[in-house]
Amino acid sequence: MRIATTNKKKDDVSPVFGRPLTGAKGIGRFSCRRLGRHLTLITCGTQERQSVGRQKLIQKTEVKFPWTAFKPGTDVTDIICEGDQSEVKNGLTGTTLIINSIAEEWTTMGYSWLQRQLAVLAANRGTRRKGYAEDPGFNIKLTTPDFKGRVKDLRLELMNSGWGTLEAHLNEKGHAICTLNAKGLGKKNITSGIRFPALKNIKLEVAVMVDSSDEMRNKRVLSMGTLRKLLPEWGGVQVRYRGFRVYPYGDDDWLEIDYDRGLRKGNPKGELFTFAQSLKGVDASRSLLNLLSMRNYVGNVEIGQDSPGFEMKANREGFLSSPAVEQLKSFVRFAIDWSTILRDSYIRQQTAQDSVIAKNEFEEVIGENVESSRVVDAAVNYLESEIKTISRSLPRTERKKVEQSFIKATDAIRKYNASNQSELSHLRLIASTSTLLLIFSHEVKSLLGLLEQSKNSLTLVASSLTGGNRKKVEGITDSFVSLKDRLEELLGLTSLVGIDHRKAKPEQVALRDKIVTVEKAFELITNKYQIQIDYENVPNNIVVKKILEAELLSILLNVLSNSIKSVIAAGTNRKIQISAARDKGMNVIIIKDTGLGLDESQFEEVFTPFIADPEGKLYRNLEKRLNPEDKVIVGSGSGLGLGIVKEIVIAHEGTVRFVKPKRNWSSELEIKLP
Amino acid sequence: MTKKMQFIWIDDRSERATESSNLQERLNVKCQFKDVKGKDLNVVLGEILSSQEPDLILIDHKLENIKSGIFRTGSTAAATIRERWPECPIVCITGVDMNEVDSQQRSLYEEMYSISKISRYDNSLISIANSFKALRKKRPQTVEQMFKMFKAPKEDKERLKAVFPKELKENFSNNTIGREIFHWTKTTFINRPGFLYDRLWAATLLGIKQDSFSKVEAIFSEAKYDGIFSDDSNERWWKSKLLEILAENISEHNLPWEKGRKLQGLSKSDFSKCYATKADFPETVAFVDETKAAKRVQIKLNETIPHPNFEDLLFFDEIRMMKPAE
Repeated sequence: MRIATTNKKKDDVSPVFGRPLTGAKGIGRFSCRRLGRHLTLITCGTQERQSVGRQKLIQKTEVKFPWTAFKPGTDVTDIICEGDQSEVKNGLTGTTLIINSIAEEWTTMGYSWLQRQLAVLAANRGTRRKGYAEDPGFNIKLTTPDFKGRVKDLRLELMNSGWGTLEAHLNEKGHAICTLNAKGLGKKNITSGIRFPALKNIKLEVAVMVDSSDEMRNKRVLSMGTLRKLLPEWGGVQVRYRGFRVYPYGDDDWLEIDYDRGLRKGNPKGELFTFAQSLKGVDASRSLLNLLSMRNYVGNVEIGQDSPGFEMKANREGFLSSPAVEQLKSFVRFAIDWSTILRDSYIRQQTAQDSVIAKNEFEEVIGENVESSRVVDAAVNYLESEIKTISRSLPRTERKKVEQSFIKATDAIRKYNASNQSELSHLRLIASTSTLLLIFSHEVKSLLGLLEQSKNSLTLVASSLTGGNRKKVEGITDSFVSLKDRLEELLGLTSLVGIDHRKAKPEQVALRDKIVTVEKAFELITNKYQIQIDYENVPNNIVVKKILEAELLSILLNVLSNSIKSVIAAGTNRKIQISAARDKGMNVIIIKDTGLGLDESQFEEVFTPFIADPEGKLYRNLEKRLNPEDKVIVGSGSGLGLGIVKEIVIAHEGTVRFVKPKRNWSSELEIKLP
Repeated sequence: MTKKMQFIWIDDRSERATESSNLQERLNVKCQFKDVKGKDLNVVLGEILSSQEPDLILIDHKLENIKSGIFRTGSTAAATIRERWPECPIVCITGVDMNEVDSQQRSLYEEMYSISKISRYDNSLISIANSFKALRKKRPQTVEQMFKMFKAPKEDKERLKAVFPKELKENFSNNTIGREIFHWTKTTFINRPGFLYDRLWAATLLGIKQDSFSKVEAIFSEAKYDGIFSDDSNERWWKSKLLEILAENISEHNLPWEKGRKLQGLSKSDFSKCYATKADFPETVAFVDETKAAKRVQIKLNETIPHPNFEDLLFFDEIRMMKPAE
């Protein structure tokens, strides 16, 4: 027996399967000594050493190692280890280690450590390495009577230790039935409305492994270290067909998970969108943004014996394209996307719960209750008093430095928090105003019914009259109709305010049409103050993709409102021009006006909430030029308009900025939207 | 003298009685206004159902001013009415935003109309009442009899047979067949372009602007749809007949939108242009975007994509949407 071997230095992978070898120190076999007083090693191999599995003739070697005989000072070569060699017909290759007379009791900690090490092996569900035989993977079963006594399938334990375990199969009508067992959610089910008619006898089992210890259900089997080793090599959803693995599925991104992540596809389609909308706190249009990497989904989809529609390619690298293959992909993605939406819901719940727990823990520390809106202030105050106490023990110059740095930091926190609170309460006010607006519009709509009734009554009266009187009455009914139509148009805009954001779906929205709608909303003021809004250079087919209609209208309303105020304040030559074009995959919308303009130094600041008039000249001049009753229409400037525009544009991965205006224009705003 | 049609209007807003009598005069029908404000609707319905079945019922959707009971909406009342009169058409006249009414409640009405625009639906109300009456008087027993009610041209019959729903073909004896025929006729046969074209589609077929169609409309009077559920406020023309009449008037072998422009009375200013690119001869009609109230425009086929919210139907034109600029 050699103490150390150069074997692993010469060949660092196993000869048959090419598995990376571990334990380069050459003392692995001696570590068995730590586990028990006696070791029996039984190894079965062939002469050729390359054959594995059941063989016609096996050479079996059995050696007993009495570790108690290995006393300090003894020459290793003097210790007798009894052995036996025999030939076995029709036997299996492999090595067995039997450790008897356990040296010390296994603790739970030691057992957990063992499971985590073995988990990395259990994750090997089979793979292929160039130049080697196909690695069949490992099945590891642990029998530990002292630890809950049952036979443990370590791969199953591994699957159940991550954030969630996802299973799916098809019912007789071809609907997918998915089940997710996950941390913080328990067991959830869904039956798809969509059918997969080309699929039969398909079963999906996937572990959703998030690389965060907070999102693990069982840290005894799976540690962060184990997970980080395991995922790059064994992550992915493999395909097994009639019991055999089909390559390269699972090694490649066959489900286009990483592809979709790259595109930041947040919006699920069809019934999954509806499902996402039903979950409290979930923004359906962004519910897939937490989709994990393909390697974080560890499992298989099994295609059973009698599954039609799957035909292997001649080179055995995957299936030939067919409806069944396409539907298989859709089926697996349906299940994974559904679990992603549920995880999004879980994350949001956790964030809310975490903030409550943090608040409660903080309250315990300071020994008093704190209102939710005052948590940041109370925490900063507490930190201040603690820092003062601690800094007293520092030398004078050090103390001053620490206190000054701390004051700057807490000042920044307080002010930013105060600004956020102010914006939040203002937005709450606007939200409640929208409720009032909806009530108002509802009442006005019912009055419209009476207006229609009066018009119809007058029409009948007119029909019984002749000559001039008839014409007079018909003239009155015509005015009724115009007034009613105008009111209905304006009320149409208010209904967008009441949209239930959870039900509204981002969709393709044509820009020019919405400019026309917004122009109509400002018609009274633009006619009165002779403001020209020119949008000749907005092509009809400029379409913003995947935006709520209300969002695009909000952008246009806020931007045009600003421009209208500015041109009124400036005095003569009241022009606003909107143009649009496509550039590098984006819609570029330019809004120019002949208003007061903006100094370049204010180009950024003007987007800050509550900075309605950074140079102080807009509202001063507006006061001079605007009729008092028209103030209501253009608004007094909440200072939130451009901030809202920026938020919406950025949320849609666009940009908005003021640029130096072209000649003859005072201000130029550039918005880019996909 | 023809007997006047009988309407019943059920409402909890007493002031609408005036509009009920306006309607009576405009449409030359007998309209009985049933004011249910402060009353038990169950009792009022009982009285109505014990009298003669009317030709049409108009009912308000939100019934907030009635005595508390099981009825809070017109749709619940409609369901009760149907138990006794399964084929009595019921139209909802309401002030609420129709988007707020869920689809299940909507399905209990034949139509929902806004009270603020009621006079625009005069023709539709007459059409619904007359058509249901005709169906009750002479219930079709076969598909051929149904097509007679459509007054379908010979060349359309085979295709119509293929698209006419199986559930209708096999259930002519069903006592709710009238409602189902109305539903399919309205939502598919009339509203989906294919067999019937509206003014915009007809104009596009002829290569002219929608407003210009009135200049040549008289030539196509034979093509006008006047079968069951036809509505003068929602006119349709048989596509097959439009093409036939066009061929009779213009003998050249060209595409219909090229031939249409040669009809008498038209000039260059009547010719249609593609909404997206201003190119000549837009071949189709498409929505400008996905929004609910999106307008439809004349447009080149290659400037459009299939509309994601509409499925394809055999023998009907594909519903399309303007393609975003590249």
